[in-house]
Amino acid sequence: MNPQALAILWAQWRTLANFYPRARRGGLALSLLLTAVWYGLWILFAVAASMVVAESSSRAELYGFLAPALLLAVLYWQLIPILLASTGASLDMRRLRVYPIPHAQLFRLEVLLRISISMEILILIVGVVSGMLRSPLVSGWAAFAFLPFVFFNLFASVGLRDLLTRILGRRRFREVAVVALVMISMLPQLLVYAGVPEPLKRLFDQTTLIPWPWSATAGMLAGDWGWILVAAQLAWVAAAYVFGRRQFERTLRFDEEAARARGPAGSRAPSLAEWLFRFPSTILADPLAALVEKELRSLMRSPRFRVTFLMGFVIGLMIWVSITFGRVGARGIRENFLAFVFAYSVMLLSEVSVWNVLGFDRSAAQIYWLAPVRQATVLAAKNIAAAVFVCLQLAGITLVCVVFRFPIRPSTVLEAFLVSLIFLLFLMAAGNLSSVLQPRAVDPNQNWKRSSSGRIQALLLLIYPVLSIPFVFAYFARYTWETDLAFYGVLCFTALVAAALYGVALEEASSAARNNKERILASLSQGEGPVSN
Amino acid sequence: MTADAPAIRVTELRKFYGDKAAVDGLSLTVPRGCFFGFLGPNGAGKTTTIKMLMGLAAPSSGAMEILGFRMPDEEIRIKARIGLVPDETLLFEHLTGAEFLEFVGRMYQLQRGVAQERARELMTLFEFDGSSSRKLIGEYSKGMRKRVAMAASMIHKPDLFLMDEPFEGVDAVGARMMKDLLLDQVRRGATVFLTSHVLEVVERLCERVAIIHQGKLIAEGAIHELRSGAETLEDLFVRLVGVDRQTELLDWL
Repeated sequence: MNPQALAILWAQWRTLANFYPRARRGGLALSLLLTAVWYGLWILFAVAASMVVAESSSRAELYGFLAPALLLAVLYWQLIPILLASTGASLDMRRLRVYPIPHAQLFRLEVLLRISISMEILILIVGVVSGMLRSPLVSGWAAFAFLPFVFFNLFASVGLRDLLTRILGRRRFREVAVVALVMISMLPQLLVYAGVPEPLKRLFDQTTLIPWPWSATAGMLAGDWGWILVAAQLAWVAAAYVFGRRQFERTLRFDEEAARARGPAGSRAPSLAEWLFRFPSTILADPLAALVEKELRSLMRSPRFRVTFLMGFVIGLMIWVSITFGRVGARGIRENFLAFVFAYSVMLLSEVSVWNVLGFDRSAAQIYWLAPVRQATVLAAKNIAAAVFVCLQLAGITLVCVVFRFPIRPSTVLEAFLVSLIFLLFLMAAGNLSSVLQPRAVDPNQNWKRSSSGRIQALLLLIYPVLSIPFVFAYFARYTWETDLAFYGVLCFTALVAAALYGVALEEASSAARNNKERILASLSQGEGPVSN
Repeated sequence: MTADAPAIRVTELRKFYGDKAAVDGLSLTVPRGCFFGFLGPNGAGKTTTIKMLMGLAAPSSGAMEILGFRMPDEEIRIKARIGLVPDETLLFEHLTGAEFLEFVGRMYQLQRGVAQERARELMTLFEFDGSSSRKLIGEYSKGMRKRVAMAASMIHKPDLFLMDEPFEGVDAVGARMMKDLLLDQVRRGATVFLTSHVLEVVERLCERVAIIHQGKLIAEGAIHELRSGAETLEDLFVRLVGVDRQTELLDWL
């Protein structure tokens, strides 16, 4: 490896070495625990894969297991960054391209860093290889077929990431691109729930004859080292290399500012959006009204928020429509379809509007401590803006349901709205606390990074189920006593608890914001190392 | 031959952002060993020009030649010979100043030991002593960040310095030291190309200036040639760029 590449890796190591001793131990311990649980699960999968491979009774059976498993591995490797809204570790080109580093060197480093989003698959590969070593059917040497498979995925992953980065850098186009990508990535799930249409089945049967990277690898792992498969594998690797290298080169030359400037200039004429921005001032008093108006404008102009808003709308409908009306749709889900869609959308939207409300403001957040305004007012304004967008999203979903004649009634719409807004109140109570206790700078132009800190992400895994419990009780009450009165009774009680909790949390968060202003402002102006996550 | 070529030669340089020309047909030659000031009001196209010279933005059309090498064809050779202080300091927040300087030295292919030694010396020269040498860059003030960026631009002894507002946020003592250092670099034959809004500084340091307005070059030459009579550089700048004050609108103030 050349000295510049070593220096980049050294700088990244120093970045981590400097960061972790200063990080909070509680957060670190929780992150480590969750990492251990996550990779522990994958080790279990790897052990299972090892057993299946070792105990396969014929080569055909082995191929039958490996081909679809490797197809899933390719999908996971290439699509999981899209689903997780994170492209993993990658070089921070904005800062590195000022130095005289040969592009080929940067490309090699970038390929190495792509391993960071494929650790799970590499664990599975180790499992399969260990199974092959114990299998009497195939030679252990056949495991070398994984090498081209891994390189194919690494190169393709670099190319895909760079292609996405550039597409998402283009004004207006990125929102459409994200929604399209998410819809594509949701296809497997849709097929599982809704069933595979016959024409697609026939097409898939025919394409099994083509030596795709996964099927060729599976064939070679199962002992078929015919020249067609070997040549196909090498061709796939070469194609992925050319794709990855070309996309990487184009990203190096990419001018984000120019790309952002392309497309239609925003109209400044009075519009529906302008009416929406101004609306809070007609019913609220300043400074709350001014803060809400600012928040509505900022969120609406943030590409990351717009993308998440669209995703909440599209994914919410796609997932729940397929689950509800697909082959495996349960009656309980069907009856409360809208509540599920709404709750799912609220959860997605909360990622950019609840858990880290100061994040988008970054260093400009200091105005909240300079202006003669209470911190509670600032947080409340941000919450009101979030609630406005949630209501807009829910109204949009309802409209789609009406247009497509999904089986919804006015009573189910009202019920879903109430459940979602009370749920949102709970989320905002927790979100206000997380926003001041774990603030994190977020680039509102960056589409692919998480808004909240890793610790908050981990806590969300616990918070969502816990906050859902009162609503489960409400539905359970209706089911038990077979009356809506029981449902609304429990819901009323839940709303009172949520309101009280919100009030207490708001005051606590406000007090924490006053006491920790220096730490909050410092956190909101932080950057990263040569490799960004 | 690169030794005879000017430090910078740009011809008919244009950069469009959408329909708007940020730089519009700029042609400019900066001789070697010169302290050159590149001036203009906010939004005139200074930062865009300097970004194109640094290889951080691609021109829409036109040609750039830096130290005799063509940009972007010979980008790596150019980058190896220039020292940069961009407008937004591209620093790594979780490194200490010394670590960052060593990193930059190694990016310019200095031996690790040499990079460490120079980093130590630059840290002393730029007065990052004791506790501040152990601080992370993320904890630095704006002036300290500019100082460390300036130190980083010098670690590989470049032939050309491209600097966008290098003194912004730096205290008087630090700014004086930085100016002296840059003058030393010009004396040894290096070229300094800087943008600054502090016209007194430009007047004191620069031999030649170029003034850009709305993407177009409106004046270029030695300061004493451009000024008329007892005119200061500020007077000249205001005369060329023009001001349109409408303070009567602020009668409430």
